[in-house]
Amino acid sequence: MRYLIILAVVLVSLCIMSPNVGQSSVIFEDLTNPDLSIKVEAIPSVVKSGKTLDFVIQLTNNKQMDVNNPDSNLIYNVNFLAYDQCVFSGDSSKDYEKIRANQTVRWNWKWTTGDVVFQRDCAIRFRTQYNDTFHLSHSITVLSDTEYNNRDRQGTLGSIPVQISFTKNSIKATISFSKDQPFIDGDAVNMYIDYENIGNGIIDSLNIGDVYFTVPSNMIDVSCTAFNLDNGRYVLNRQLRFLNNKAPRSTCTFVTKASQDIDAGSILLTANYKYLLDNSLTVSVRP
Amino acid sequence: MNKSVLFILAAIAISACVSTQPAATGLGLEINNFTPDQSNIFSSRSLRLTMTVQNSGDTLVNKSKALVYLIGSNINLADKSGFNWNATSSDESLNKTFPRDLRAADPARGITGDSATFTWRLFSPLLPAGQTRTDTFIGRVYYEYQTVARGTVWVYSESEADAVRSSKGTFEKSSFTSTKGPLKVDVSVSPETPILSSSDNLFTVEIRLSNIGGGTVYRINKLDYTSGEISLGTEDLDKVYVSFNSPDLIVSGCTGEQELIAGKDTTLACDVRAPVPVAKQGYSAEIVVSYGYYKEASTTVTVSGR
Repeated sequence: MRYLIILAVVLVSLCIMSPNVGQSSVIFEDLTNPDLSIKVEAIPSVVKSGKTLDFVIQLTNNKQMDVNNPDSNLIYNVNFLAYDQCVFSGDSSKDYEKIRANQTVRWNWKWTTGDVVFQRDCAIRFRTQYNDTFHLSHSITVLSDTEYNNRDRQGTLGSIPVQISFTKNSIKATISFSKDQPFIDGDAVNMYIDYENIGNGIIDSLNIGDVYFTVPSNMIDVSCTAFNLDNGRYVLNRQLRFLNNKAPRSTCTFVTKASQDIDAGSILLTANYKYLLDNSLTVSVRP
Repeated sequence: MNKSVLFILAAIAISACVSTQPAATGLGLEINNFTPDQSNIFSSRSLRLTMTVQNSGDTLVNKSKALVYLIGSNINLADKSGFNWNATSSDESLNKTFPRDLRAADPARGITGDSATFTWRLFSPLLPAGQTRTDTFIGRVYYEYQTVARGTVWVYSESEADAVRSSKGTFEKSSFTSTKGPLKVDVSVSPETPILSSSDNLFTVEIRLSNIGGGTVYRINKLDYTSGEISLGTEDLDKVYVSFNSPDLIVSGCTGEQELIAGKDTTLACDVRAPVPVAKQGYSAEIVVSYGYYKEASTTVTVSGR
């Protein structure tokens, strides 16, 4: 019995002598942002002045890794910055040239806790800035008059699928047309490009040169107000600022051309963008 | 009866039901297979697209009257930029002619219809790293074919018809048997038993045409199968050529080029005059429907840039 009492006293004293008041942590997580997810953990959740706070950061590129093509789906020029450290001091910025698809980077900062005269909640603010690229492929099918009429009569116009594929990004561009596909040879068509922020962060704008696309040979006389033809590519010629998570729609016109009964090609669109995630977590600091 | 015997009988009965095969449809030249050797591929890699066609009908496919043709998304065999599907060799072409005639099946000897396999060898297009695109390929087979109906038209003289009626006998009925093909031909005679006299030796033979092959009919002798130029206008579609062969019958009104509107059956009415028989007479007749026909199959390949 005497030994048990001694053991209890030792355990209680260990708690009192612990450098930090408690060992539970505060965690911020954003796992729903499409391209990059974040987990930040501050240990402990309540820290005494003069003691150390562990600040653990984890960034994950959510895109699928292709083992044969490891350089695809990179997120690059990644910067994590704790721009408001409250009463803490220590390293606050870290850069990664690139984070590969499906890769997680994790690091730990040890911050010194400054003096406070009374217990307070301290919001640590941090932002993650990165560059990423969105890719879209959208098929265009043009039928000759004969083919169109024949399929129309047979009810098989819908059997030619519109193929659309795009990458998993915080920014998404979609293409739509003034007419339903498949088109008929010689159709005059309006094409619309819409841009949307579907992530959890902020994009200010798509800038000149950031968006470009190529068109297949079954689209001729292409004319776009927001794009200039440059070396076979249509390149964005103006800044598109986002408002309420949407950027102004781009409109193009073109005429269809069928070189054979079924002439199918694809528009390939690329959008490079800079994205910002701004977040915070709160730690209690005691004197 | 022993329980185990009952069980075996039941099992046999069930298996007989399960193994019942649907009647063979025999729809002409069928595309049995149209597949790529890889459904996912990186840029600038070689791909083989293979198509196998088989003659499932009852008529020979003449190699000089058939071709297969590849239609594809973003395909340009002559492309040097690499941004389209292009050819691995200068010999590659979108259209391919048949290496030999494809004979019909011979069920009596247990021989299936001839088949032929065609391969296109392509290079996948260049895409930017991170870009993925799914391209659709459509393989078509164009060929000229015939569906033939053969049978006997029975006609009676008035006196013979009276004799049959008074003796409560039965009339011989005209009947036709048709070969299998993507166009179905049904023949009937109206009235069912023509009774002819010197003043009225006219009756009607009806030819009902149905497109049951799931493809498109086009005019014969329109395509140049050796050059591979596929140029069918709307006016070339839905056209068949009908001939009515019988040494004794005089036929009008249903032969030559006829239209078979897509999605609908067509009935051609032939005015037929026959020599008045002394009693009854069966006249053999052959109705040949000639047509061009194309069918297609599709497949997709996903390309990833790198």
